[in-house]
Amino acid sequence: MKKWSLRVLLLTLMLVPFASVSAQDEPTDIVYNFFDECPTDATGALDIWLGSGLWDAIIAEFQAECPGLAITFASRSGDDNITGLQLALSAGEGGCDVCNIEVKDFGQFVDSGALLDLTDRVAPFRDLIPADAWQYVTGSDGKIYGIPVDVGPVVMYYRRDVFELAGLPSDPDSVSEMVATWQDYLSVCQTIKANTGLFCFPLSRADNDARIYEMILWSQGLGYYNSAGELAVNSPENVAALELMGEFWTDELVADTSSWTDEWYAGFSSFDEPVASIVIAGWMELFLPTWIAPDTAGLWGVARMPGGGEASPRAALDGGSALFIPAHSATADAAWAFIENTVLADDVMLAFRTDPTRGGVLPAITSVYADPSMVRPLAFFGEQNTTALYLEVYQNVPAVRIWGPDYTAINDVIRTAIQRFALGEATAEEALTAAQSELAEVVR
Amino acid sequence: MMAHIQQLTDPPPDPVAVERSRRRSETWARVKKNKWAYLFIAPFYVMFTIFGLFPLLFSLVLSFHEWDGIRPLRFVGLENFQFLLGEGGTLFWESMRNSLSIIVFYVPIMTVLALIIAALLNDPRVRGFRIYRALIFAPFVTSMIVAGYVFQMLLGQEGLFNTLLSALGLGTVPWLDTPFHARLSLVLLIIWGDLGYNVVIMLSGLQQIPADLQEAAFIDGATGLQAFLQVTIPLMRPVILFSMIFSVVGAFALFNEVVALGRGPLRSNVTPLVTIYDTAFSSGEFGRAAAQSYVYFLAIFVLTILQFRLVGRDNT
Repeated sequence: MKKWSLRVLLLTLMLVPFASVSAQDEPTDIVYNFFDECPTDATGALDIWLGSGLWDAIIAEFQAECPGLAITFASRSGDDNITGLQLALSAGEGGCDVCNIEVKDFGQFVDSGALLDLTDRVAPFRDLIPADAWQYVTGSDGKIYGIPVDVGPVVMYYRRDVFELAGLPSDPDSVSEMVATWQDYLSVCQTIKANTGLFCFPLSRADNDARIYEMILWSQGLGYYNSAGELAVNSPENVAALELMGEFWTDELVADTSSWTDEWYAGFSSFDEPVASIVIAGWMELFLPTWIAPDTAGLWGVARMPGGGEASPRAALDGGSALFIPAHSATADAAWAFIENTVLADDVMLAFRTDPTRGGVLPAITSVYADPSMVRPLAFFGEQNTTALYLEVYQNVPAVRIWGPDYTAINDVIRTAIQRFALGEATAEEALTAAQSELAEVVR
Repeated sequence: MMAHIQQLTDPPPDPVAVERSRRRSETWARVKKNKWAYLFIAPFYVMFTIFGLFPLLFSLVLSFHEWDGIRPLRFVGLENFQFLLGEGGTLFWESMRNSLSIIVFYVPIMTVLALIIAALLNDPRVRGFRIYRALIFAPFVTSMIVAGYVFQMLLGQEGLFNTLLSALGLGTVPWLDTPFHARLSLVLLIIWGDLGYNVVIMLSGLQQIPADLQEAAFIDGATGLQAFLQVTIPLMRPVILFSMIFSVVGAFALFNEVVALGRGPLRSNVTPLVTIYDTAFSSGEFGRAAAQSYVYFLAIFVLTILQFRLVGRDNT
């Protein structure tokens, strides 16, 4: 028995150093203390529907300072969130007092009459957020119904090792210059394919989600509507954009993998057969190092996305979220106090960008971009300071009409049109003309 | 005295009204007598009224209105149905056609397979038949969402199926990348999921057939196959009909499977329920979705009647 006790003791002592090392390695969450006192005298129940991460800590802190409010926090996202919002707004009671939704889906609700008019409340903060970001939360009556929280300026992430293997320059400035237009990007992809045999980026034929197509349009100042505001998904410019996208398939430059699948992730994390790049929003900076390709630290660079030519903005948005308060909220003042002191407060939004474990998203308010802590070379991206690039893109995003009240229906029809074209069932013009006819019936 | 005169001048009571009153009292007495029984069955009816009857009637009302789920209803008469029968119904009819082509693959394979497996499991000489019965039923109680995602991984370009096919030198199959293959994959998934249920239904039917009928066939010189085809199958007709109706309605009502496995290239796997859901919750067109629901109901109803006529002529 004594022998056993001795063995257990020795084993425990042996494990102690490992335990302490692992405890030291575990990152500790920063405690911020954003609120000195409760910013509102309002009392009552406050339901908050937001994403997770740093929000958990912020809401706990807000609750601690405001004991008069009974805050209920639900982490919600995606389709379930939209359905929940529809039901709550339809019922005219319950649901959330502070509600979160992706900016691309905001158009579904903006003219519903069920959201609180925030025009006067946001007046002092209008200059903090670029005009383009406000348009998605503005109703057809010109009133503002939401507050942008974070944005997704589109950039190009690329593998420096693949570019070098292809004999191409790999520093961000040279790459940005090299892919000034989508035609240039096509040439770069051809070089990569010829010199390395690797795919340039993932682009599914059969399961295409139209996101790259929308970015090609957006980066050239194009959209789904013409200048008169009429639906024009088959305009000559749009047809040309789809034909250009088709060249990547024709030349077999792209990996035929669906977005957000294991095969898609494998393309980014692979050392043997990596894809060379991906044109996607800035939030990818959070995903690549944490769970998609953590082992590829130092191999990535970030460049400007391609555009349409000399005068092209080379900028687009993908993702981003906004908050609103339902008109039926009984604690609208408390909800506004929460919003004003979080998404419109520099220190909180700065943390959303810089927090080492829970940060990474790009705040919508530009006042934080000048903060020295935003300049942070990231080892994962070869010590590149990516924030400056995101800001440059964000401030150049053209006001095109892609997102709006009918975006879900339009995206659904367009993705089918792209699939028909990609699978050789129709030319670009035929596919988009059929889409135009279909949408003319579906969209009111 | 006055009261007596009044009584004499009153008209005689209406016998119908008296009878009605008597019945009412009797009914009420019966209700009072069985009040606890009614109380115990009440939850079902309350639930059914709230979650079954009310949505049924409300969606009928909705089908004549334009509604985005938030703003007040706007009466549009038959506009939603006209829309559905015109160009605007493309997506819906496409999804109906998808379901029909799924049925063409799925129902015959499922019915034959379920019947064969049930016949095998009905033979007590098969060792461990109870274990097989349990195993074959297990997928039916598995979440189709989970199964759908697992199938998606198995059928991916570099999934297990293609890895095995490549290892055998058979090349790879674009399971989810062409409309035909995506539909085939969906059929595989639902056969895997529903086979157990259909086997159990067939098995219960087989066990109802008296053994002496088959014995008589054997005495008359029939082979095992002949006895199965000439005796068992005709007697199984009502059960086969039930299984087929279940499969047809099930194929039209596919939802979780499609959501998990994917809507397929060119919407090849989109079924009417998915279209109705998308119309309501993605496009915010609840009125149109309600109209689709009723047309969908009508289509299922007509198909079921047709099946009764074609398959169940003599035995239903």
